[in-house]
Amino acid sequence: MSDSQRQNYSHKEKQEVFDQEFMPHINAMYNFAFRLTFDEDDAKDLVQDTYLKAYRFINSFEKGTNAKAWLFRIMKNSFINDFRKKSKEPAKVDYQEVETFYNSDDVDKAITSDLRVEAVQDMMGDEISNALNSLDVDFRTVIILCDLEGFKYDEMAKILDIPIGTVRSRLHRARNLLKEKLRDYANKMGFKN
Amino acid sequence: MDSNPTEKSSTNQPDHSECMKLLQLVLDDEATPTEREVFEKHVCNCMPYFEIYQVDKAIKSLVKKTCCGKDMPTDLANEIRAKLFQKAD
Repeated sequence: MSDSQRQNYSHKEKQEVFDQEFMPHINAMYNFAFRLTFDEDDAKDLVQDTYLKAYRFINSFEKGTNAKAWLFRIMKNSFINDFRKKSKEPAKVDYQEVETFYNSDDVDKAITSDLRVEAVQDMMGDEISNALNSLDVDFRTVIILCDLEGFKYDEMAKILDIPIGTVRSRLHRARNLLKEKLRDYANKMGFKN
Repeated sequence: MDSNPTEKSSTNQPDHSECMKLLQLVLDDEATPTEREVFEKHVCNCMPYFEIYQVDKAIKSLVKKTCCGKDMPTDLANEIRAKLFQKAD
């Protein structure tokens, strides 16, 4: 945002924006934080950090625009910059593979997908949740943003700082990985392919 | 032009790779009306894709249903507000 677009809120206005536009999303923010960190204390710290930053930079936020996307973007950046560094091994995603996925043999492989809708519908919440949690954070994140939070591709592109084409291919790859995990569960549950 | 999905569909030759791209757009409500029409025409005649679409739809809906409700600590919102506004209030 250029200086001319920066807001100049009074203290009272800042508080109003914070309460009316930011705070209504705190449950979704906590859920996202927990899905990123898998730890309640870390999730709490991440939410707190995100809201403190949101307030610090509140003059960059234009009232009435997409506050939820703005907050998710701050959280994603905070997680990458502060929290992810704490982990021993940062998540690795083969983006070259992701980018070329649509043109690969995997497309044909997907046509013969053997996961049945009946098997999926019989799964318990824990199985879905565990499968989602087992994905690399970058893949997990696109599914959370799209399927849980209902962000559109253009909003996800802004939150994640990636082109829309990458959002689409990463989401596609993430869903196939999720399906692989669920297929394993389905097999364990005894569903015949 | 090859990249036009409608032209491909008019030949009645299934283009699975094009359909795979459309499947996700339809699933996420990002498809244009033309893309949706092409996709629907394709899945009517293509059982494997019909099944994949049903599975993807079921997973999307289950993810939404089961992964949203992590309970937030009750004091978190107040703690944040207190940190920011206590001195000024």
